[in-house]
Amino acid sequence: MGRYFVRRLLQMIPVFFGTTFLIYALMFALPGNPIDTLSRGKPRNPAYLQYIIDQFNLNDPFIVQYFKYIGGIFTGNFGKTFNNVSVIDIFMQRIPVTLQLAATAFVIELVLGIALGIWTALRKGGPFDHLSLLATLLLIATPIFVLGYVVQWLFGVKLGWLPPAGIQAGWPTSYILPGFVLASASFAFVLRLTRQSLLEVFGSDYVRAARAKGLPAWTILRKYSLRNSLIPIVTFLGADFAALMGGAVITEGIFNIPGIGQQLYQSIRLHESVVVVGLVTVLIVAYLIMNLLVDLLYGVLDPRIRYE
Amino acid sequence: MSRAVRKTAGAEGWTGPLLSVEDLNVQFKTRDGLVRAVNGVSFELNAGETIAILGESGSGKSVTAQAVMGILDMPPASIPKGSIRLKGRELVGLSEKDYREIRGTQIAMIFQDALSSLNPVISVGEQIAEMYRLHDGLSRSDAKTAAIDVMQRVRIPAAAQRFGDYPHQFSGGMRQRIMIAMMISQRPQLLIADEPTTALDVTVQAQVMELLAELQRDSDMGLILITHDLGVVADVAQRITVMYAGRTMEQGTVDEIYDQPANPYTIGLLESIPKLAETVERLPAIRGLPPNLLQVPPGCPFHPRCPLAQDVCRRDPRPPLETVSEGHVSSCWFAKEVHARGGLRV
Amino acid sequence: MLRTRRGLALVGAAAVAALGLSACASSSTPGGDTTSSAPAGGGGTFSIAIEEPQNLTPSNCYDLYCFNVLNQMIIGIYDFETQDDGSIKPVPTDLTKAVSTSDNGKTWTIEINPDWTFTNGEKITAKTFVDTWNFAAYGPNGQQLGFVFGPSQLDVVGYDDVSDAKSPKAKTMSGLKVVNDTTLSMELNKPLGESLFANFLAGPQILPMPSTALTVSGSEDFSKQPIGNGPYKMDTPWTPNQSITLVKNPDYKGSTPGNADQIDFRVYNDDNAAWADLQAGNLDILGVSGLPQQALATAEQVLGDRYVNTAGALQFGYYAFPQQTDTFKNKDVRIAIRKAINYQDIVDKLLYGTATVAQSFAPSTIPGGGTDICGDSCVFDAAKAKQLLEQGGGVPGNKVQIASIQGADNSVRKAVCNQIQQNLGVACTLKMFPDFGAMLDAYAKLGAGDTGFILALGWGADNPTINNMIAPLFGTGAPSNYIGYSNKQFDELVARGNAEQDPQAQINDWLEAEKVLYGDFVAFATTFPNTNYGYSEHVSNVKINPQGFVNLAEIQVNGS
Repeated sequence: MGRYFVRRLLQMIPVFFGTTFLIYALMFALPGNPIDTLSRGKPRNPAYLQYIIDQFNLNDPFIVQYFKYIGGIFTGNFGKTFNNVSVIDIFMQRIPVTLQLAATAFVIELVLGIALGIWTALRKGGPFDHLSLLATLLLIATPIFVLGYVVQWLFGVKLGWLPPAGIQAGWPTSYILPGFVLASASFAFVLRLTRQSLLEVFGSDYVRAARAKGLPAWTILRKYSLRNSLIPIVTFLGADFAALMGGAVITEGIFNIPGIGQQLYQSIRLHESVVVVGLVTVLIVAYLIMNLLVDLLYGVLDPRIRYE
Repeated sequence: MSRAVRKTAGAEGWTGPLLSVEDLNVQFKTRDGLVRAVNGVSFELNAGETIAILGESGSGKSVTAQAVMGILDMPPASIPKGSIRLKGRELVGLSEKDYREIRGTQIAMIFQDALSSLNPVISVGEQIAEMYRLHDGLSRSDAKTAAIDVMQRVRIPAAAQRFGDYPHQFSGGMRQRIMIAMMISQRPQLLIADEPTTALDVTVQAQVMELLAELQRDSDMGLILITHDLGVVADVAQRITVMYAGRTMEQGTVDEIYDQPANPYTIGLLESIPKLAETVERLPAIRGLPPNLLQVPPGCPFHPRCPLAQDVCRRDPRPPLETVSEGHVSSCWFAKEVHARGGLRV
Repeated sequence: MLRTRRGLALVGAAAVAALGLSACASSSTPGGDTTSSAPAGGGGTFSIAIEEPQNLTPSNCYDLYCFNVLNQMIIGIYDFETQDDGSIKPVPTDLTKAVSTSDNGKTWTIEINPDWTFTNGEKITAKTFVDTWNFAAYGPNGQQLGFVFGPSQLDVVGYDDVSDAKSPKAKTMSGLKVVNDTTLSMELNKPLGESLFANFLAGPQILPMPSTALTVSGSEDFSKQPIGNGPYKMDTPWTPNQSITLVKNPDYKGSTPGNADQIDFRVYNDDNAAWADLQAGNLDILGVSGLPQQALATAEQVLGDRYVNTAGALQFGYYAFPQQTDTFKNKDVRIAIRKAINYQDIVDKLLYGTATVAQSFAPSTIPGGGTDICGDSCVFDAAKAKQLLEQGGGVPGNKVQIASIQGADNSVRKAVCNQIQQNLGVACTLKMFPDFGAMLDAYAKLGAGDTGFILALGWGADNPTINNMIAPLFGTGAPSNYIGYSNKQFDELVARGNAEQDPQAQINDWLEAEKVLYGDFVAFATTFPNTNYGYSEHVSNVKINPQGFVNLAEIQVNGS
């Protein structure tokens, strides 16, 4: 298992290089260029534009820019935004924010999703089951910005229970509403997945045998059902966490959370390639780590799975 | 609850049969209609005895077994009629709580596919030990010792070392032994074995059947053997019930049924066993397929496939169980004639 | 994990609920963060919503937000003040002793008061200003506002020698001289009227910076925590993309110190979130760049008196025609298109009355603005429009296009298009471009024989002069002249007005220049948005002027 772990870590290195290259190339391929975007609307001092061009190597060909960027990384210089904020500062400010948001959403979907999934599986066909299937369908179908604005207005403005925007009130207060909105579709998914997975397991031969052994329902649920049904759920949750980190753009916008999503959106618009590459790489590394954790977790959950 | 108390549940000093099933009916409500899986099955079992329930897939034999164990999902299944008595105690309608107390302790069941019937993510030792912890209240370490003991009893080599292994790490035969160990750990009075050897190859089959017989002798356990394999039955069972479409077609001692079957269905089954001494080009098989349990034909359920079928067979009512000799009954309008022919080809 | 899964579920749910409830219980204002509290008559803290300022370096400050912040931290030579009649004028600050010219506006002498210091102790002298301005103008420093010293605005002698980005000839402008500790002189290439000169000197690039800030890296450090001489200062570096906190400067030497003890600038990237916060009582002031669209519908209802909606923000939208193309080469056609658009209707229905229709390029809040230059050509009249169109020979294919940028809010443009279709019978569609640069590139390439499209742009003025509303857009070769317009008469009139010492004569010259513009009818202004903003119950005396500057020092925090 140890060797497997190390091997997976090493595999991340080529992925890192491949991704940075790809994203850099994609940014380059975007229509428009940073100078135009900076110039819009107001007369721009040519000296300022020249300064930007020099600082960011904007006149160099793509490959040169890319290698200068990679070279910079090895000296710990991840570049900076056109406003001279260093990308590392951006990491330090925004990654914790997005992490908190993603973690809050994750806890909601994990805890609520699995708990309610178990409940509806146990009470299959009952009124709560039907209600939750309908509710999850609505949550999945509702576009996130509709849900976001409604939740923000209802709980933040009208009822005033929680702050409608910003992170002034800290964790968890400021993160509850956006966390819930961000988690909504995933939560619905986890609920249905748990329910489905459990129902399948309930019908399995070993659950039948467990009943024949005279085991009480709680033991059957805990030892014979949950752990066996977790693999698809863990798979989903693992991928979802990384998706939460990167996909929070809309939620961060609506609730004014200064996280990675917002920054990505702005930087793509402004053609700040180094910022985009840096942030996307962080997200990809997060995704790879989650993937690795999930795979390792499989080995724990299911002893039939073993790695060399 | 201690074992001593459990053993006396049911009448003190009961002298009747260990298990008595009378006119058992089990049906399932499905989206497509009502499936009558078991239609009036009756049999008796005494302590130390083995009876075999024989039939094709869909004959209702597994459902009967699960009904006795009480592990059918009660919707959609239901028992509209019939009785199951364990040492005189009625089990139909028993509360889940009460049923749970006798499952695993007084009545136990082993299943066909040990790989899918054992929890893949828990060690085999733990699956056995939990029986002792739950039913006997033993501590973890005592339960582990007891589990290793019973594993050795079913002749699993290196039991102590293999306590922590998982089901997928054993061969098919070993797994079946583990399941047996698990299910007889509480010395149940009745063991139902649902196709215990179907998934195993012949030599292993023999070993497992021998083990079951040995356990039975040791503890005077009643054994219900459910199978479609006539070869296995001959060595082990005293009495046989042949089922078809949820009904008893024939019931009697092993010798009677093998030598002088009284039902065309039974004859068909007997003839489909390949015989060592004969060379044939084609194995005889009963032509046709078992009926769709949603729409059982009127009259005798076997009539579409029966070479002897007459008009009376195709009409309701279905043939009652007729006694053709002592302890030997058959559900066929021509039972006596078939019986008289003495097992010749029809 | 197995045993406690269910338990975890319940505990987790309970924890979440408990935290949420405690958050409510523990604070009087929802959200937990006190936005303001104060004894009456001074003191207290209030919050105001802004967008992220690009930086906080005066010579590099090119957006409204950095200027609002810097304005409280540093005072320079002139300051913008809103007059009683609503117009904005530059007035000398307490730091300035006298500003005079001896040769009708070509050479200027500026005298400052002694004994002013930065909060880091450095004395502010004439040299401070000269050094700061040289730093701003020097090309390789890449300061965005350096161009103010150049030909498009002040036109200081020697600017060309310093402004080249790669290899300038000199490091300082020869026209700037330190006379003594409290006096400096500035020589311009062309004479400027005093009111225009004062307007140029009221901008952020003029604000003095301490010597440590006068290098590229020094200015970057300065931007993180500016050092000034104004009524407020910054005690800790600000948090980019979150907030800027200013506190009262006890050493301020001016006559009008601030009221509140602390000002919290909160960065919002989505103004709908800011609107939600304002309604929930988490935010005190919103509207430096106006209220968001969705707020306009209910603002009056929700805020009552605390919603302000006044005409004449220093902005306008304008449409320009590529007159070299076949479609738009006829002036009657161009006027016909304008006359087919009912802007009042659009203002009423789409903008909730938060704009006024433009008859010139200058709103009423600018001295000389708000006059009707365009006349009948800008009056909506469908019948006459159709006539004119016919007279002009129609448009090829009977269709026109209006340019638009993907992702921008196109509701107004769509409405305009609909009106052109309805009232003129000419098909109208939007032509989408991926971004601003692409749109301008395409426009520049249009020539004879092309179908062309109408350019729809906007403009926000830097200072409240008619000059600033027209010269940068329509002067020959001017930096924001995207439409390639060139009219010698226009240029002359503008230049003449620039040099006029008499304010009224200056205004008249510029109005004449506008007339020339409308005479050519290559472009027309569409509407002047209103200044609209809202504030919470916790503050009073909130004013945002048409430029978007907030009277932060005068705002009072209400006692609780």
